[in-house]
Amino acid sequence: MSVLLKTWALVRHTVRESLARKTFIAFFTISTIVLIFMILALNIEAVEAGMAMVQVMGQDINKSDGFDIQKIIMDIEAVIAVVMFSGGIFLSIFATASLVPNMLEKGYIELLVSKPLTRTQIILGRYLGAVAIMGLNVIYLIGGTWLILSIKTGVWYQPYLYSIPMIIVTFAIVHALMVLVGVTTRSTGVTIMVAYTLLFLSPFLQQKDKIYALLSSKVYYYLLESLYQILPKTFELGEMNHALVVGRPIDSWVPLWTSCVVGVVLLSSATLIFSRKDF
Amino acid sequence: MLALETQDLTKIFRSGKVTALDGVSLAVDTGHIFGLLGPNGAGKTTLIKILLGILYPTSGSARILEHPLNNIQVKEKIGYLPENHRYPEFLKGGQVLDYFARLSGVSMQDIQKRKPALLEMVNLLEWQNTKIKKYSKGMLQRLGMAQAMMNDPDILFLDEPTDGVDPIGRRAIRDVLRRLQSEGKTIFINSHLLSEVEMICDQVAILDKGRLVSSGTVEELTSPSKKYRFQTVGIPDDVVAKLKPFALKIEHYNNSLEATCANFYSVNDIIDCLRANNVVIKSIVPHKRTLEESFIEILKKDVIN
Repeated sequence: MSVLLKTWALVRHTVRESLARKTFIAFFTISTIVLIFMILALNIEAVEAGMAMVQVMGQDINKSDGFDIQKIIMDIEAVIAVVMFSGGIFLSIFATASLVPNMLEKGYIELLVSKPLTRTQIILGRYLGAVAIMGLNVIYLIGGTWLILSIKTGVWYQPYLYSIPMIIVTFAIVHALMVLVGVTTRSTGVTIMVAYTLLFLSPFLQQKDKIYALLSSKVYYYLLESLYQILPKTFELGEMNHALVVGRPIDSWVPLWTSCVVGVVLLSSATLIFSRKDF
Repeated sequence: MLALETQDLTKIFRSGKVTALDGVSLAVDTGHIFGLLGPNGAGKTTLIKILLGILYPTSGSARILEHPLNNIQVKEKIGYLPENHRYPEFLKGGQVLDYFARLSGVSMQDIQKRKPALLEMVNLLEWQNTKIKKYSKGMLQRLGMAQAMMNDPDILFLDEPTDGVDPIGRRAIRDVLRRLQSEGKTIFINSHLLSEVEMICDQVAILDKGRLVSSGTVEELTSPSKKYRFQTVGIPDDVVAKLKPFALKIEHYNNSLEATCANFYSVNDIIDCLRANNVVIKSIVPHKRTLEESFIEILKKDVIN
């Protein structure tokens, strides 16, 4: 019980620290603006069981024009899910990159390590705090837009909600890498660079076979294949997120579970390095 | 009961290039205020960090409150004020105490009970709702003291506790430490302010280049020297000349003289001679070495050895 309470204190402190940095406040404000915009821009009058008229940004759309409200809602939600996946993760990397390097600053880490906590607890508390604050923002925006759209249209399209765990899991995997880099280098700048490099590399690695076809040496094949296998597949996770939201069948769940395994390995490595470090 | 004990504690940094601690063995009984002294780079902070699990020893062992260093639970009975501590600047004074107390496993009820009392004690009660980025260095140091005591520790490690604190604040810290000692707590102070240590510690150890070069009570280290100051009502020069056979060295001032004597018999011989020559003696004061003098002497001997 005491172990849980101490870890919870670390998680709460990390959330509070993230909020103090204002980046997540900005994230939350943008999300609120999106929600208010949706409330005001989408005006639907429901008559009996069907919809008599739909107004989007003041323009009337009639059902007789071949209009499919379910399709429109699905498209809007798909756009939000995709934007939230890439934009949300992009912003969250920026907002959370300094959490581990800051924790390792002289004068603070000594205090933390001197407390009756295991080093694993310290790293996990920090990690879970970052994922929690990101998750809260995702739930707020995705959950909020889903509720507004559903209440206004009467179309309760649940697959949109799959993007909540997809975005959180993807960020959790990327953040595991950030924790490892943070623990190793103690640098916020390097942590941001490595995380963005991963996001940038991922679509290229997904096209590894096409890239290899343009190259001559077998070495490149092994290099690309190794990078593809050992790095989280964020681009494919983004595609899966989109597929889940639009209700398209998933070809393979392998990118998800292999990325999760990589995330666990990265976080375990970070914990191991942190546990052995002198401060 | 021993509050802490180390056995041949050694710490070597940077692949064997820097020996920060070299086989340090010491023991501190509970209920004492123990001062660890040494010049910069002597290994004082390294020793404290090893005891708190912040650094890992290269070899040797240590026990705190009769538990090995890897025992996490024993840390609930330890308070620590690091040198140059840094608290998250977005927190207010009271929140700093809440946060670190929770990490130490202190219950909410105890936090609510202890926090105002400790803030009052370090004179920061009216500052508890102010963000610590507005605190002065002295205020941060006092907040650090309160933080270290939030878990009502049995042993308190203080690394340069009076650093940046004004004389009134220093006195307040000394009073707090004496009160804690009277409650049976053990206090381990790491400081280079020898006068402070002399005023408050009852046991000291001196580290130099990672080695323990001396340890004992403050009285033992500052034992009276062989010098005596005789305060008189004028001493004629011819009387001073008569005293020379009794002393190893004599220095004469207007109304006093300072004599270095081989033993107490020589002191008595000087008294007899002065009285025989009708010199009025106002006082005889044995010269006591300060801790600083002893410290410098010990370090000089260590360099020679």
